[in-house]
Amino acid sequence: MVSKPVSESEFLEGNAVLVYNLALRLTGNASDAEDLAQDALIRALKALPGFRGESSLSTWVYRITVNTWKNRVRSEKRRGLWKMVPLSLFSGDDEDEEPNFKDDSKPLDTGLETDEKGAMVQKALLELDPESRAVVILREIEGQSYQEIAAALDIPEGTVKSRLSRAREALKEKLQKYVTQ
Amino acid sequence: MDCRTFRERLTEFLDRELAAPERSQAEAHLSACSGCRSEYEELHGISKMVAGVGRKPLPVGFMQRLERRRQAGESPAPSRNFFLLPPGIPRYAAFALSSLIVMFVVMDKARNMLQPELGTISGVASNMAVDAPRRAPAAAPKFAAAPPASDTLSSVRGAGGGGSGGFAALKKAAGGQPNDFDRAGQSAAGSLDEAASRNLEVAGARDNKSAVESVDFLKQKAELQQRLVSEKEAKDASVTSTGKALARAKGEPLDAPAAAPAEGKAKVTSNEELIAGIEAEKKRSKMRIIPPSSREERTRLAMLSAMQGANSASAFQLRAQVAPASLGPGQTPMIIAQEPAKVGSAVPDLERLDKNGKLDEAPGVLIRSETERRDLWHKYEMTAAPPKIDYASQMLAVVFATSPSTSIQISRVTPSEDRIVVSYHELPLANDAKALAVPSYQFRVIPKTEKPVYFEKLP
Repeated sequence: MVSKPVSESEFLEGNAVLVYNLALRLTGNASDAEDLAQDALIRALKALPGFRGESSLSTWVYRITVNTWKNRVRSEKRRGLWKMVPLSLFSGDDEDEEPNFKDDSKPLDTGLETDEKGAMVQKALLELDPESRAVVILREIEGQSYQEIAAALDIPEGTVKSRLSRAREALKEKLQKYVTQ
Repeated sequence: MDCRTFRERLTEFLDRELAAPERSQAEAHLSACSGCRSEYEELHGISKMVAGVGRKPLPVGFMQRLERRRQAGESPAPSRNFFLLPPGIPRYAAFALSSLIVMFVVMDKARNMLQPELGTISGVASNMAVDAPRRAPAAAPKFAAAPPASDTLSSVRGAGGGGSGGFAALKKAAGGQPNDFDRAGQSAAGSLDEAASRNLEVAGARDNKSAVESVDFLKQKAELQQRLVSEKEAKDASVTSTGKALARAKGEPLDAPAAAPAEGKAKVTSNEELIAGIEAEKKRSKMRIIPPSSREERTRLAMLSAMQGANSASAFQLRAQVAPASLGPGQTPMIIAQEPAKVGSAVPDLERLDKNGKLDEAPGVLIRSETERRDLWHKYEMTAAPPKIDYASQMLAVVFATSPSTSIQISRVTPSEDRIVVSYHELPLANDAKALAVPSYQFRVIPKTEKPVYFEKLP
């Protein structure tokens, strides 16, 4: 199946907001989300002439976004090696400095969600492992089918189901008290 | 369908991914089993709650920033082939290579700490500090105790810490006399802090070009700070006591003024060495590209980028002039004159933007063509809908705020025989309004003219 060519402006009009929202939920941080979304969109625009419509455009762009994000996470982990070097090694005196090794998880952007439930959902999402987080976001927030999620993440549908099932159990533990309110 | 099978299928049932026959069986079980119904309702509630966060709109200026990045040819984050190795080279070889590089860099930094060299940007700070005694040797002989400062700056830079950390460590280096040190070294420490902060910005610059320009900016700033420090020290009589405080801090006798200037001179680097150091830092900065990780840092970089843009496009300069006496009774506020009809005039002079993002004067800009208008809107990511202008008979006057915490209100436009005066107020933003990354602005369509246009700031 070969789809009709999509112009850049048409592509951006329909997909920029999808990419940004996926990036926002993956990173939990508006600043990082914008960087990630722009990287993903630049990659997608470069690859757009080669898009042949084997999947839907949204699935294709989700896949690019998730891959860009995975690369960033890997890259962050590499940089994490640096964070493990204590400041005292360089200065010989770190009493006045804050510890320079921090948890790799991104800080919650308090401005992202204005209500308590929204903030708790975002926090719970960030506490999931990255693969499960991507599955949950694509299913629950972006409303993608198992088949589309499998295509976007390049995993079998069975893996989508199992990750989703595990992630929901984890989310239930964290969010149950808010559901009953 | 029994409970076990239902639980196994629950996720698919919830997502309507079960095929028809199984779905009917699951529905039948759900109506008959209260335990499974409870489980289903819990998960359904979680699912609805997560879905409830919904989508957010794109941030203001997102598309413009995307376009700018595309035009700048900025490459996305490194791809999976991080080491750019040809196919066939195993990953462990890449890992070994990276380990060697890391080891080399760490050793290099450690060596810098043990033997502070003045041939780097740290040398700028040291030079600033020791320049005061060189010019006023009797005043602050012990101010030449700069090596700890140099060390501190290196350590801050090496570990990626903040500029304030450098200042704190610098105070500590003074030996527990922070008050005296504050008075004596305020300017120099400020310069050092600034240098450290600016240096980190260099490290955070998104591309090599801007990093190199940042170093140029730093050089200019350092020279200015150096001059200010020396002038201040020469005039300030209190520095003598401060010099004593510093001598106490170093544990040296107070009555050793003769040796001190020589020490200061000995540590002064020549301009050639300083320039060589800056060149070395340019090379270093190319290797230390760290993407901005916080909104604050991004804003700072945006400001820096705007300043560099203004520097490179300095064909146009705004000029401050005194208001002509004939302007009107009781009107003696500052007047910023706009040179008339210059091509490419749509560039406010942001060279005056200081590190806090403030301008000393509000620039007014005249737009005489759609190209200029588009450039200005693009350059400053102006989101206001552009007005309809007939450039044959009209032009556009734009006024920018002097600070991120103020806004502009154009109150009137007064044409006269020999000029047009655009009068405006600059008002503080409400307390709850967020500071703007881009200066606030307002524009007004005015009749096309070759007369000079004045921008008048009303009290």
